Amino acid sequence: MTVSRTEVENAVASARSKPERTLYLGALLEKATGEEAIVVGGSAVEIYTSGRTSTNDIDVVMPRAKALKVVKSWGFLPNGRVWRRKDWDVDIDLLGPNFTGSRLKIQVISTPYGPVRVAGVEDLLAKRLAELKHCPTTPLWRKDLAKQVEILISEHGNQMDDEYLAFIARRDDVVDILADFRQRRRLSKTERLRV
Amino acid sequence: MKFGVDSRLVTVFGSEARVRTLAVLANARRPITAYRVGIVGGVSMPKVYSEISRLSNAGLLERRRNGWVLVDEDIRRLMQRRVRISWSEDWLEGERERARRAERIIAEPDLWFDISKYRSNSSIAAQYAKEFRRPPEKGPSRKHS
Repeated sequence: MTVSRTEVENAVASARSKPERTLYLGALLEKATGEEAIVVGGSAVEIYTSGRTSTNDIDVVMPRAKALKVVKSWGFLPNGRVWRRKDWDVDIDLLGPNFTGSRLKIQVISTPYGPVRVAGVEDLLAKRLAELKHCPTTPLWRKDLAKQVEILISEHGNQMDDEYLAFIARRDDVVDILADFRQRRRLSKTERLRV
Repeated sequence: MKFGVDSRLVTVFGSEARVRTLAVLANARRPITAYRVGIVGGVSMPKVYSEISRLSNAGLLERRRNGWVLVDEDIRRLMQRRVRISWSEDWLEGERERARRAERIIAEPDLWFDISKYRSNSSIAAQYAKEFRRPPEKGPSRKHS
């Protein structure tokens, strides 16, 4: 189905927040290409954390061929791997068709422009923990990752599939760090209740 | 494009339309109309009305002024873990309050966290190296500063 540049511009203009804008763009990409589009990475975390973990690029897992034509028709310009609309301060990174998380844990969000899929919160959490624990990075980024993990656990811990999370935590060797973060959030809640 | 549902749940609950109906109701943060259940869940209207009537007769749903509510907490928890389907208005409602809670977490001191106590695993690092590497065209980030 064709999605005109005007429709996209109206959708973006109507979004009241960055996560909402990401949802609309993801839904319109899926609508325009007829292919499944899954929002992953930092932009997915931003949707789960209500925009409090900022990112300017929208990482989307979907077949690239049709999507490239679509983003081009919407006024995005290529910049290496990513497609950029400077006036919106948005980069779209089309990652190809391989989704590494669980399809059963995907969050589907129905928008006025059709459904959009967002990577499961368990997969996002495990990847952040794996990056924290196994990959050397800067102290600032490490701090960001740690805060993202804390917010994900605090806001979505109750809805997570514990069985699946335990499985991927073992696979990624992050059982210890996950346990510490969960303990930390439990303690914080208790501290707040005491106050 | 329709979202897929876990075939095991279809076996347990007896029909895909029932799983979709229950999933939308379970993930809703407020009462939801049958019409909206159909749109969000990708279920035809006749099927939604028949499923809602059946689930309501079984005592699993209650009618409120603005729509239907799933009142069985066990089924709600199961569905929230297994089939995640919401609509944007509902998802984004309360965003400001959630953002405030997130701000509080960001402001908390992070002295408790000591990365040196964990032993990194180089094979996992190698496995994710490509995924975690930020391409230069995305510009600088706190990853590099």
